[in-house]
Amino acid sequence: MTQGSCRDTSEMGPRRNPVAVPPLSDEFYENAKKLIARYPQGRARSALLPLLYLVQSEHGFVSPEGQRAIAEILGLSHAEVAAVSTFYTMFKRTPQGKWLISVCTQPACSLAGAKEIVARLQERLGIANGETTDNGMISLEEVECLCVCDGAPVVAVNYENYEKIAVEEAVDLVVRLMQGEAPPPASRGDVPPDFAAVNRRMSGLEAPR
Amino acid sequence: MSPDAPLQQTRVLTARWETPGADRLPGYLATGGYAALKKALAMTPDDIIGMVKEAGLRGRGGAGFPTGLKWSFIPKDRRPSYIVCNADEGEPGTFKDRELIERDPHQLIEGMAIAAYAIGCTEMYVFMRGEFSYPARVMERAIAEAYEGGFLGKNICGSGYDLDFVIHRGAGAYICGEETALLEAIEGRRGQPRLRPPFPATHGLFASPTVVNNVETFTCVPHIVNNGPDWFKTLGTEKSAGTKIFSISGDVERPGNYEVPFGTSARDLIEGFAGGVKGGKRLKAFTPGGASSTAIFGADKLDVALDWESVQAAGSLLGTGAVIVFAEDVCMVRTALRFTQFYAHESCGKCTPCREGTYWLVNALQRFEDGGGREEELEILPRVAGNILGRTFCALGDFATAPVASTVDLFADEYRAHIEKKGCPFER
Repeated sequence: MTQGSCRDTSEMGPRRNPVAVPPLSDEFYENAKKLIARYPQGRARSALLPLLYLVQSEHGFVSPEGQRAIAEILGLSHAEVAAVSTFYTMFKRTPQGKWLISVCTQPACSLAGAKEIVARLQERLGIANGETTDNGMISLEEVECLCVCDGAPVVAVNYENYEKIAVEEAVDLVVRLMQGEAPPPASRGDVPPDFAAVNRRMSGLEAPR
Repeated sequence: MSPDAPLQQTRVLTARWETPGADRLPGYLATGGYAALKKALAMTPDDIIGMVKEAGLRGRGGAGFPTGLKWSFIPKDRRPSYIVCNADEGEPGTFKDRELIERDPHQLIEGMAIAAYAIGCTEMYVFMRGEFSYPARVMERAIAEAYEGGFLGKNICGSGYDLDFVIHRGAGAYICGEETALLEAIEGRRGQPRLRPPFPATHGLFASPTVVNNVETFTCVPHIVNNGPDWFKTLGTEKSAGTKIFSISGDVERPGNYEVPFGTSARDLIEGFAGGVKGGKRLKAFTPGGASSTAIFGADKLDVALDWESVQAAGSLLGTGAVIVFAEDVCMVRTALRFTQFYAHESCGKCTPCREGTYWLVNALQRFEDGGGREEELEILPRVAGNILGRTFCALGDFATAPVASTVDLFADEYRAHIEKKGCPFER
């Protein structure tokens, strides 16, 4: 955070120590141009959500530095960028772990034991929802419906779903994640190797066109 | 349902789900894929719109607005115009769009392409919820294949017509399923609903004429073009034509998506297709249309036909057709609390009644669960809900009132049991 700047809206909420982040890579700026080019002439602002994902892929969260860079690229005020980044729950305001674990606790999943899964994972990891383990491996969150209710209860790791997962299976999964490996979900998909990779995908860089 | 009659799904939109490889271009083509697009490109745009109108296709995203009519609102003299697919599925209990994308992505591309040609647009967007990681990869692969195969890009199918496709990912906001909030998100803004009028048909994406339709709606289009409106009308009811994919979840033996004609009874879906309530328990309640059903139904409503008119006549909304089933041992106060927490979390904050009201409702319901509920609140709760209902920009505020109003109405005895026991008397 720039010294002496007025209140940085991206840091709303409990006061946290600023996190030191490396400068954004040259690749970031090149990719930003590519993402902007996907939208019609004069509509660069449409790339704002993709660019926020791109910042997350570099810094593990929507860092104030990254948001300022986006503001500059798109010709927006920092407040405008922060207003958007704070609106969407998938833009994280603190650095996330290698694995982001999301447990759905909407009724279909809760009826199938999701609350117990949350409690056991919190206990096993020693963290509350929204926190990250000290070794930087795992972040945990409780989320709204992931639209996989036929697979309830659902635990997502970096947004890939483990369906009909029993409490003990969830605990075992976390143990393996702590060791650095993510077994592929039984139903479909592969877990991206880390939070950075999933955010890169999310930005749309790998999409056709 | 007669007990001996085998239950058969009416597979139209889900016809390819059982065919291995139909999610890839060769498999799609081998099962008749893109024939409708070729047929459509030889028709006039007005004829296509007429056909969709004639078929009685209505939007599958929840509101049931006539699709052909929506398309016909697009002014012919203003360009560019846009087709936008709403793939921001997030309604608790709904999972049909996800599976439609995962299993048959080309069907969606084809439906959108026909719509694009019908309204004369050359650029389509799909707004897909951020959490749909796997579906997005399937979609990206299909789009690449469609470009490669000449179904997207320059001069599609040799018609001289150009059509581009952009995937735009959401970032975790249910409100973006509301079409104007969705457009805001594509434009790089907070997903807050716009004031209407003007409507998206004249001032939508980038202030241009825009059609926003749900995934399932678009996937109906190739079938209407292929088989004609009369065929489509033979499925379903008079005012709810076609098939509907119902997502059944909660306490049932076989949760899943089931495609049946509109007008199929909740009993057939729950007791038939989904195998009945799990563990042989009795049914306490179900939602006919997800968390946003304006009323949760009790067991007395099992024979309601699930089409727009019948569900409305029975006092609720069909919404997206998400049937969440609750067994006899489920706490309906806790259920109302969890649904209301959802709306409190997803309220965009624009309108005071929704922003403040959902917060207040959550606190009050939590108090019941924690043992602090009071008798007078059984009157206050519906009153607060009534002060949200109809007083917000978009329907999220209205939906947010349903779980509370509906459970206080149907299950007041459970609220009272919480007061008496000074806490929740249920295990789940």
